[in-house]
Amino acid sequence: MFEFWIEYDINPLIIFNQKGNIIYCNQEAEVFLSYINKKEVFDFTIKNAPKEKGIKTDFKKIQFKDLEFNGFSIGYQNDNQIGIRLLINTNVHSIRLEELEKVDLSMLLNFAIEYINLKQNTSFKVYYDPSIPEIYLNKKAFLNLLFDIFENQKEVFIQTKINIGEYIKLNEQKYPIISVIIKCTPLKHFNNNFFEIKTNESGYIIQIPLIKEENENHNT
Amino acid sequence: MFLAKSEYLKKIKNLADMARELQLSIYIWGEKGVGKSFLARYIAPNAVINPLNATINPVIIEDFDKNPSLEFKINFFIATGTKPLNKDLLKKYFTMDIELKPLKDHPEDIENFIKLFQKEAKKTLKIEKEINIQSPDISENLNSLKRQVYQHLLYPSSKKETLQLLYEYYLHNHKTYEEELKDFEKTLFSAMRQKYGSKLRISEKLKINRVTLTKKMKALNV
Repeated sequence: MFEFWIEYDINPLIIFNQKGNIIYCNQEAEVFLSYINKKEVFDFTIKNAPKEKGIKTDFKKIQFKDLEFNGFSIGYQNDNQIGIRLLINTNVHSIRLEELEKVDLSMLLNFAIEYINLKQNTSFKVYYDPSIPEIYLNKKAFLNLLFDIFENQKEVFIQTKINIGEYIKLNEQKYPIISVIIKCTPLKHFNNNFFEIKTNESGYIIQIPLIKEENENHNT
Repeated sequence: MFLAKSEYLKKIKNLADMARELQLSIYIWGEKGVGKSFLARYIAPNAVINPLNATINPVIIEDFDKNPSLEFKINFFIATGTKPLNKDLLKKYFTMDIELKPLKDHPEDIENFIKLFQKEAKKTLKIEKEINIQSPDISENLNSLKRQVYQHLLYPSSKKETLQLLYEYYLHNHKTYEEELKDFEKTLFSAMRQKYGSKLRISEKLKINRVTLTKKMKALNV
């Protein structure tokens, strides 16, 4: 009778056999495993397994690619199977929509590149998606974030694209998402009130809501 | 008109063009006379300079570092100053800052600026004359350079005019006969020294005994 609850739990649960094959995973874990290699997860499970039979729960930040979790529970009853339950990060990151102005995103990026090259020598490669329209965004916050990211970088690759099929809901409005993928050495971790920033080993991804009309949002 | 021969100024011009398009608030700082106000006006051509009340136009505020506060809210504003602002102040009011480097850091541009000032000066002063500036004065960057160009244009063009100037000077003040002669000799010998270098050549050209010349120069401390 508990299977229903486990199946639709918001935390991914995966059970492996001895060889690292998956015996069971719930719905959330299926989504998770479509991004992450199961071997990576199995290795992590074995490495962090409790010494004795039972369940070990640990609350610490763990990361698989750009997916972040707040902790995990790993447990086993016999040598045939081992399970891992990842605890998702439920902190809601709110994005502030303030001082929005209509701008051309690639022009803003070009400006940041020129400005950085006045102060330091960084080689940039860019690949812009020409289908991105002019959007409303807080240009000051965006430029300051870019300046911080580009600081002390030797080589940077920038790509922009619209995420297909992904949306962000802000103030009861649904917006498509623009990703600005910045490949560089991730020197710092950034938290920003205006954008969602994901950090991984190959750099940063800044996600921006695609707001086309000023009155799309009443706070502007 | 934005003159840019050096790579450095080309970069600045490029940034300024984009900043104008994007309407970014910028703090421009640098030494005296590097062209801060000019750049500010280039970025925001229809700006009101140092306004007292709020305006819908862009705003330029000069010497912002001396009194870093803003009485009214404005979206697009450019400020200038001689010193960099601290990070908090910069983030509060501006998107970024641009440092304008002194002319000695990009000397390739000097020649073009001289040409520009010369053109401007000829028009203002209504003088048709070619001048040649051997050693540009960039002690105060563009300010001193501009002054030098105007001065050169206004210099007397013949000996007659020079003497006329001196004549007018003597009407107001003069020293003793001996002192005036000393001044004259000193000026003459200094110029000759720069032109010919050795005393031997000077004595030849001026048709004066070399020993006499050496004695005089020593006495005059040339």
